[in-house]
Amino acid sequence: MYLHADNLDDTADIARVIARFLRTGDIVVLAGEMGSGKTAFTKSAAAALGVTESVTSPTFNLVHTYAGDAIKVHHVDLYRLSRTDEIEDLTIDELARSGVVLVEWGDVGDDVIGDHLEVRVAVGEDDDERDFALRPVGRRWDARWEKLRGALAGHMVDDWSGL
Amino acid sequence: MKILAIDTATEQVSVAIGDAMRIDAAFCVASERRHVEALVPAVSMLLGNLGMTVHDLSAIAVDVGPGLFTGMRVGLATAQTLADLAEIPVVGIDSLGIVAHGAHAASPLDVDDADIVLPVLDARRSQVYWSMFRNNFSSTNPLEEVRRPRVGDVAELLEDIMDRGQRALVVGTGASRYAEQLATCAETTRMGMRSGLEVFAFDPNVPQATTLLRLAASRVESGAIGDGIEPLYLRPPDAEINWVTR
Amino acid sequence: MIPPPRVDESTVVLGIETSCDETAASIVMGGTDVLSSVVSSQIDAHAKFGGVVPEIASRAHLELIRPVINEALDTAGVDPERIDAVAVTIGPGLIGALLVGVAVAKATAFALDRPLVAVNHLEAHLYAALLDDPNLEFPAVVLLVSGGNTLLLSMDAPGSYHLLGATIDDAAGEAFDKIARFLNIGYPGGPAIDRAARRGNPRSVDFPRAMLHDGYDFSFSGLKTAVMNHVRKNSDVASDDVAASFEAAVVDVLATKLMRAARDTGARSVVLGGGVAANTLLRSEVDRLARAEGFRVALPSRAMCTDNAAMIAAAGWYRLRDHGPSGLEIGAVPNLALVADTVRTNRAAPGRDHR
Repeated sequence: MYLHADNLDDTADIARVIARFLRTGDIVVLAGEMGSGKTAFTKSAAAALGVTESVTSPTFNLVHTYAGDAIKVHHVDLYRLSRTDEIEDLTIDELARSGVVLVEWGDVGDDVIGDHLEVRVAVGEDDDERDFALRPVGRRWDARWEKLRGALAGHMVDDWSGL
Repeated sequence: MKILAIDTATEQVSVAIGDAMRIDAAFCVASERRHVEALVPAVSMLLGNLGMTVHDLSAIAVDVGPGLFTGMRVGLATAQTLADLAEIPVVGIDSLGIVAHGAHAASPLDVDDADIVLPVLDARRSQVYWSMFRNNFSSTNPLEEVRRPRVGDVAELLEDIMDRGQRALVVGTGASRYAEQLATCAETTRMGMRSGLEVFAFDPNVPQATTLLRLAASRVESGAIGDGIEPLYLRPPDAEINWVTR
Repeated sequence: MIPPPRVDESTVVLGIETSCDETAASIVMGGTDVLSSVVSSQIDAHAKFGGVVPEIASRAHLELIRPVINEALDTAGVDPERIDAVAVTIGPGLIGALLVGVAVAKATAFALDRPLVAVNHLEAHLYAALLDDPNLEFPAVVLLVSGGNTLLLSMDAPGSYHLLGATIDDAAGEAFDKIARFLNIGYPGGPAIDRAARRGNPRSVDFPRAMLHDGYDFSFSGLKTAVMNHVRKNSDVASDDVAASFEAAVVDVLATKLMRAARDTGARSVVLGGGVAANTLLRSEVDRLARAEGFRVALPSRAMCTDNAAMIAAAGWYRLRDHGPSGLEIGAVPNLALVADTVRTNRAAPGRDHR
């Protein structure tokens, strides 16, 4: 499914809506180039899950974990990794057992990371515009997919206009 | 002549103290990657129970891999440091040799059904680490390494077994993980009237430090200590992920 | 159990640091007297990847730690038996890298039967200025800027400090690294931006100064995006000018907030720490502004700004004196924060837990 955000509020809203559908065990893979807003997306999603502290970039330490209202939020960044062994060492599936996991640059570990929701972000024509492509990998999202589409209908577009 | 043996290259922390004749004390815990937390307290507890300090040891043995990278490094760093400060030698033994000899100790009759023994450890990503031992059918030197540890796809392991054309026994975590492929391979070789392949899935929950200790003890006795230890990663550390956009 | 150690001017601490890409060991006596400080950098090993690669860093630490410690002992002219305590960084940092140092430190403490002291890397950076200038006047405000953190603290005395503000998204050093990589001007990012900026015009692009007049927290994510958007739209723009303008925006925010914190807290001294404190413009701006307002300025040498083990040994000495030793069961804590039990905070410290 393709989404378009005219401004930062739209982007935050998309993140919040997706967050409402997240439950323990879910992995969200965030793809998109540097500066596209992967951390910003995570901030909005984490806030929607009840995280009150600052969600800071996990690039340096690879994994940050926050307590939400009823769920843990694990924020992972693969930016510095060079081998898929290292992705496995992060034990993303184990993290998912205790909460939701959002993985920046997660697309490079597609074949190592289990079932997940891929969220691809691209900068639009205007600095604050963003284009999103959402894609479920595996069957985990089957039952929720139509409901998610319905909840995001206001942002939906027919085509991917991102890069 | 007491040896401290440390194995942290697997999911477990396994420690033993003893000599060629007997194991005086042993400890094992499934540590879920908390190797560094458990290791020194375990060593301290065992030495304490025996009324010993590190200065009463004559050598330290360590599993140098292949295995879990982080666990291996904890073991190597700890063993080397203890050995340096106690001014005693450190002996490195590879994990595959430990598995092969451990299988022989646990079940010598099964081993004696085979001409070659292949310890196989799961290396993840559909790959395995393996080496190969020839069965000498002797009590003094039962297994002799004929192939150094390597990493590869399961298909390469199967090829390796078929090429050899001998009765083969496969042991270790990789044997249980890929039991089905190995069984199919065994079937094929039998139909081709070639030597039989036996698949024996060795239980990896046996504490490995005791086997490591025995291997190290015979090394120390024969004076074949080697000069220093090196981790056996078998995989390069550098870029494998194809970064396009980063 | 090891009896509580006597901690005084003659206490010799071995410090070990392996949290990122520097393998370091140091011998410090009495918390301030640096007998040796050895740092082996792995910059070359990571250069072709444009960033620290965790597995490469971990392997290098294992190879280097033994010769580095031996050199620290030799240089200091100290036998292992003379070591009174072993201090080691347990976090924050890369898990695989930290584990090497922690394993060596624990084995050393155990074999020598000496106390082990777990040190927070961020806390240790606060002692770096004190090592260069033991007569530092308190209270002080400290700006700690590195690849993983951007923190503003006030410090009443060694061991007594509280957090004023922190980045809410990217660390300043991370912004330097990512922009350097984006502009393709070299590695490591900090020195590369520094060099390029000296050649460029800092006023060529007016990049945003996020939250400049708003509290003590920092935000650099928007600036990073603004730089990228600018370059994407102006492909002919000179990298040197972009680097200079970007650096000017970062330094403006850092220096402005540091000076405001100094005024607000009634500090006598202004202190810089962390890898980004080696930045030429940041040093000269802080020096200029602080002097103009009559503050004492402590700019640690570049060797003390970047990761080193002398600061770990120093922090270990204070920690041992004030809190006693750590147990041998400690592990590495990759997301260790400056937390309430070691710091008097005036706001909730980030309560991240670790894997």
